[in-house]
Amino acid sequence: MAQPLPTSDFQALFESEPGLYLVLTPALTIVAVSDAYLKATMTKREEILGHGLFEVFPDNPDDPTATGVRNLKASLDRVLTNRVPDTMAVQKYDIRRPESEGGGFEERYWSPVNSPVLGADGKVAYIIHRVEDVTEFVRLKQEGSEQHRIIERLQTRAAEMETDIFRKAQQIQITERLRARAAQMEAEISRRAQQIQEANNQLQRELDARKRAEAALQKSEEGFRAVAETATEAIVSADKRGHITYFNPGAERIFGYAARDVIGSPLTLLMPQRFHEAHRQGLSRFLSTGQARVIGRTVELVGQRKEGTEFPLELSLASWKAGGETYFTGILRDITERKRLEQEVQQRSAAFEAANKELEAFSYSVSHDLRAPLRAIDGFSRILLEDHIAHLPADAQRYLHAVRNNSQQMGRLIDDLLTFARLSRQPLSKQLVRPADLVQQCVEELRAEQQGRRVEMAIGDLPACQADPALLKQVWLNLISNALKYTRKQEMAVIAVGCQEQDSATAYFVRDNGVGFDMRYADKLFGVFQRLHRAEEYAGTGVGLAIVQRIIHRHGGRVWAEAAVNHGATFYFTLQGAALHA
Amino acid sequence: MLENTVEILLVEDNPDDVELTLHAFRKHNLANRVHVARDGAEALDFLFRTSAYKDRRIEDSPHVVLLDLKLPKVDGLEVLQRMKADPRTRMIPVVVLTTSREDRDITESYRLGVNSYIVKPVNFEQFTEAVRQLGLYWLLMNEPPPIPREPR
Repeated sequence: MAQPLPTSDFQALFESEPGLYLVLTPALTIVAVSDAYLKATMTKREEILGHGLFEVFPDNPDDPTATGVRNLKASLDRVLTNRVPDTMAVQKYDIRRPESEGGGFEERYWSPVNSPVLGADGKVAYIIHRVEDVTEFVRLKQEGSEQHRIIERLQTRAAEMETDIFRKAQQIQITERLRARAAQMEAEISRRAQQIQEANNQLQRELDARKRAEAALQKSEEGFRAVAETATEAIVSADKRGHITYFNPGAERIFGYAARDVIGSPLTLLMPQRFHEAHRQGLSRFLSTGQARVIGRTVELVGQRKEGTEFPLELSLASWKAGGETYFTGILRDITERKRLEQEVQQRSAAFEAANKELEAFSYSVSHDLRAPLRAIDGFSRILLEDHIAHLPADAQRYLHAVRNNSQQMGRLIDDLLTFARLSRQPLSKQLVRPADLVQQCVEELRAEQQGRRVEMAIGDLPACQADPALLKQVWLNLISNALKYTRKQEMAVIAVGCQEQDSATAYFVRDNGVGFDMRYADKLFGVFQRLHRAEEYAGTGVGLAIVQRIIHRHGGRVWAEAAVNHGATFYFTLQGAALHA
Repeated sequence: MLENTVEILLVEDNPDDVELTLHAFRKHNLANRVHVARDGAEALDFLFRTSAYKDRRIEDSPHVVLLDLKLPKVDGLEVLQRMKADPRTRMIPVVVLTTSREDRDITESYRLGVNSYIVKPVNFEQFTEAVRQLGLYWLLMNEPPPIPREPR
């Protein structure tokens, strides 16, 4: 067994202890310290023994958050009070760096345990303050956590960046889509804008049109009112019950009622009793079925004036709706006069028909009965001149010749007149005709008239036309034979047949260099029996040109002449376009 | 009269026309062979041997009938129609000799089967010439149909 240690050895033992110890008095004065403690706190024993704890180890003045002094003091206070050891949490407690090492404070973390050493009286005699320097650990831990934080941050950052990148990518995608969409929308908007512009324009136009229409309507309403007020016709409106709502001055005139007396009265007031029932039935039928016999049409009815007389009227009836109500407006015309005229026309046309028949019978009898006596006159005169000439003095013979001449002339007149009458009745049979052929035929037929004469006949181009060939030939025959007749006294007859454009119609003409006529009498040329030359000069019946005119008029054309006395005449005719000159 | 062969039946009511026509025939030596009927009824009696003409010999049927249209009692168109409807008279040539130049008369006559239609001219020379020509044509140049037999 070894010898117990001497007290001085205990001090050496304590001071060599690898642990970090301080021994404090209850007044917190440092009374003992281990070497390890001195090393860890970069202090020297002689500098701290006998000094107050907090004098040696103050808080780091550069760390405003330092809690070392306060926490340590609290722990020591608790040991003094409770007289039980007190373990403190890891405490940051920076220590002063010696001046030789640069001064200032060094960051340190400590894990302190303060234990009381009780004296014989049971009071706290000393406090053993043992610490462990955990700075490195804390730093490591701090660094670890720092690294962790960094990693976390990095991860977070990475995640953030990922998100960000994703978001950006999305944004880019979205942007692309947006851009496309935007372009689409832009186009759409531009289209819409255009549409809107168009719609606007349309609207404006409609607005303008409506304005104009309204103006026109107002104007036309005024116009209609004026028309209604001044119309000679009766204008009467009624509601669906058949009660009069409007009665214009024309109606007042025709029916003899004042408007104020009949407004609100039934329409039946204006018609004879016997038509009332039919009117009421018609009205109710229209209102229930929409069917009407008289609406939208013009019908002839019988009206009754205020004084009771009846008169024929023509009614045009319209129905219209205003504010959901049906109304009727009728325009009524007193057709008494027209009826009378119609009757008259009917009578006249009957008379005309009869006259026509009579005329036909007349011309038939003229044709038959009038010519027979002429033939007898001529025939017996001739027999006298032939068989009994030996018994006749010269005068008697001359008179008989005169009788014959006259009877023959009358025969020609009758024949021409009958021809003329026939032309008016005979229906036209139009076809394509070549006037050149007709003219050629006429010239052939009139060959006898040219015998022993010098005649220069120039026939120009004559375009085809639509005409009745027989009648048109009669026209050419009459005109050419006239031309031959009235050039008889010329040494050389010059006759030209041709055509020219006249007011966009083809005007055919026959021109001669004959005696012509005075244009003052031009209007008489085409009348029946009108002659501009004496019979002894130029024989004729005065019917030839009347026949020409009749035929031309029946073709819808016109005929006229230009002439001067002794300077020839030109006769023109067209076959249509008469209306242009009417 | 009955002894002579009747070559022309002239149906004409106007005595002046009759005289003028006969005058014209005389000038051309045709008058002896003309029988005159003064209206349509007489013409039909002559042709169909009725009433006053019931004893006329069938052999005396005319070679040609000159027919006026406007006749008392029975008018010319009816005479024509009756003649052309009857087999006994159908083949006898009929010449309408009239003052009418009405289209409807001309048309109707041809429709009923007239052989010729002549409008009497007012001018006597022309009239005489017309009569001469038709006498020559129908009596000398035209070959008449065989004389019809009496049906048994």
